[in-house]
Amino acid sequence: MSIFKAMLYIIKKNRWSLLLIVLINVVISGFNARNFTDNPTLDLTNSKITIYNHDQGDIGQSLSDYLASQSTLVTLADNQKARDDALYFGKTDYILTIPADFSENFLLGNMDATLAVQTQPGSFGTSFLETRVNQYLNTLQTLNEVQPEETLPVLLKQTAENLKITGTLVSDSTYAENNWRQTAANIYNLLAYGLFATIFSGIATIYLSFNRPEIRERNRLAPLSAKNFNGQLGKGLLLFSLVTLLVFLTYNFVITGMVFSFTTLLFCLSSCLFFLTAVAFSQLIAQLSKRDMVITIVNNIYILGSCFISGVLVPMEYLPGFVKNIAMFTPTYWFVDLNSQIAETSQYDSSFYQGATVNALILITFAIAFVVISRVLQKEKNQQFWSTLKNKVA
Amino acid sequence: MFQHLYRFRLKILLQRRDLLFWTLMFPLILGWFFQAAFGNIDNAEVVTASDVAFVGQAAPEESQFAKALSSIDNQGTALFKPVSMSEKAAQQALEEGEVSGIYYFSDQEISLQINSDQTPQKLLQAFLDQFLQQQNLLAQITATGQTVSDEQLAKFLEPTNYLQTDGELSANDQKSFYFFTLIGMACMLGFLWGLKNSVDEQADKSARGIRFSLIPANKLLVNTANTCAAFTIFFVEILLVIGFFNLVYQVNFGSRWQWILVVAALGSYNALVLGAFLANRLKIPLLQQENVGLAFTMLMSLFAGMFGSYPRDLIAEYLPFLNYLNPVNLISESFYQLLYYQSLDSFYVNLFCLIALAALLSLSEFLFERRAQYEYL
Repeated sequence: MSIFKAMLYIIKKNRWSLLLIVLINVVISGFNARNFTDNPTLDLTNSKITIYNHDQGDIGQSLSDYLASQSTLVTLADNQKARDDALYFGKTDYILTIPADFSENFLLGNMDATLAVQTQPGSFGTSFLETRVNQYLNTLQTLNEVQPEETLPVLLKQTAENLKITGTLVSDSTYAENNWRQTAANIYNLLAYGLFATIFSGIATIYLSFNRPEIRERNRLAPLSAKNFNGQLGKGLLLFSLVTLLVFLTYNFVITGMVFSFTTLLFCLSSCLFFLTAVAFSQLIAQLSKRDMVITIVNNIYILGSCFISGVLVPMEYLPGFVKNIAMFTPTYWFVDLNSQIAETSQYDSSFYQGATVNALILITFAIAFVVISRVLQKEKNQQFWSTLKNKVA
Repeated sequence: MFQHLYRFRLKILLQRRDLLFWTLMFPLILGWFFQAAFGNIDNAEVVTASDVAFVGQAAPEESQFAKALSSIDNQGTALFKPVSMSEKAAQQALEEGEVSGIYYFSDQEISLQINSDQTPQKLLQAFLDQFLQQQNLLAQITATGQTVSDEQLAKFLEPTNYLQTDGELSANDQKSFYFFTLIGMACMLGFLWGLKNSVDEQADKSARGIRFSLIPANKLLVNTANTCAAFTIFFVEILLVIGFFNLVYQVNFGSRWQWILVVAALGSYNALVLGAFLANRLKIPLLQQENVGLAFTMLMSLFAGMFGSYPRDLIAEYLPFLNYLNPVNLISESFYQLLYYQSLDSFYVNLFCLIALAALLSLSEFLFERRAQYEYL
């Protein structure tokens, strides 16, 4: 019990640095959770468009109204800085500028009747806006040519009527479910940082405290067998790790909408497998480390780094092939891949189970490998300690 | 005296390999991860052709529709390639993401099935609408007995393009911004040098501090020499980091190098005085001070947009003043402004904030250290 109490004391002393990792994970997961949607069907009017309408005639206004019904209108200040910022940071997808003499030029059939558009270069954006704007103006132009006697308000009304015709859109019935699974997978993927870093920091801090030469030698002399000592230490570390896992899983369960489903169960199982590798890895490194700096290095380079290259912080499809090949040597990659498999499948058939089993086995192999290396090193360390002690006594 | 103190301080600081690691090697290593992760991010929305499934009877309408769909391009790149499939194969291809959508052709109508709300899907819907609207308009004109000349019909079927790309397009360079946040973070990691300096100057915290307190020199002179030595090392490190990012990771910094150096220098100095501030105000062991500083730097980087721009946008919307107090954000935003803006008005605001922060922290350090006395010395 004394070892257990000492462990509690160490964790309490370092609670702020542990809580900060939890906080970072909570914040990033919270931001991811905004992607959950209540809408069961697809909404294709979510493109963000900014219109600067300087037109003094009616066409500019009527075109703006039409585009506003097809997209979400975003208002910006009329300067280059606001435009650049909005496009760069994705506050708007397209910026359309309607010049002051547009109606006049358009009705006269002048070639100058053009609209300026800004989008992210190389994106689909221009084509989408092109289709909508050109359809509107070409319809108006055709109506104007075949009915030259009609007034502009009538032509605009006819154009609006014609553009009300839309094709039948069949939303995939599983859209909302797919969206939930994908977003939930992203949130569970973040455990590769939050859960891993918290468990590693906790275990390493405890080990480093007990591994300090003066403490270790004092403990060897204590009326407590090595078996008893290691047993208490192991149980304490396991309890700490399990509580951490429970806290993270509960948080994820809450922010993913408290959905009791088979998919949630699979995400939890996948997290538990990753948890095993995290605990085994943490114990191995903690056992080897002698300096506090190791905790910061492993947290900020190995754990955070593997999140970058394994698709936790950036979608896997953006990563180049050689980066993925490197990532395959980390458990994080297989954990993220397993979550992707869970998210991408709605029908859990035999091909899914085959793929998922491979990932699960790889994660278990990682855990076993870490445990075996840890045991071998521990044994060698013990032998070395006793032989040194014998030499000293002799 | 100043030269002597400065020279020996440089020697002492250069022996701290752990600090050199955190302030030089760590940003370079993290930069590799950034390059691996964000190297392709600017191509995420870049146009690539995708297949579209066509399901249903081969009516003349279908071939007309397919021909028109194939003609949609973006700067010469065809966006869609129609592929005829059975319904089952099309459904599977849609689920596996091999096709952007499925068009169903029947006697009565053409419908579209999609399972995503991205731009290609919006374009497919816009195209279907356009096709149906054109058909309807033609039918409407014919029904009213109005005659459409061949020229009008040809013009109608091949619509005029009224859009013109604006000449002042922003470059699509998201990768640079992530690297700018990383430089902001690298600058702030310099707090470790400031922390080390401060601990070495105070008699109640280190043996070196006791020695410093006994020398026949003005405390301000000692402090200035130490700060200058730490600044020299750290500023050179930051320049190496920027140079490495620019030459090896191909990060675009633009051409205003004189201002980039000013921002890097101010950022470095801010970090040093922040370190001194933490050492003076936090009454906890050195290791915990370092951990708090590291955690604080990570948090500032998170809010500056290092893990995605959403936290930064959220703060800009609800607590905009916080962005002016966050040095990581001020540094990364300044780099961004220097790269993109024609006018530097908003950059000067950021520069002023960095100077004000440095002045405030320096003043706080000065007030704390000028009257420091040690009862048992």
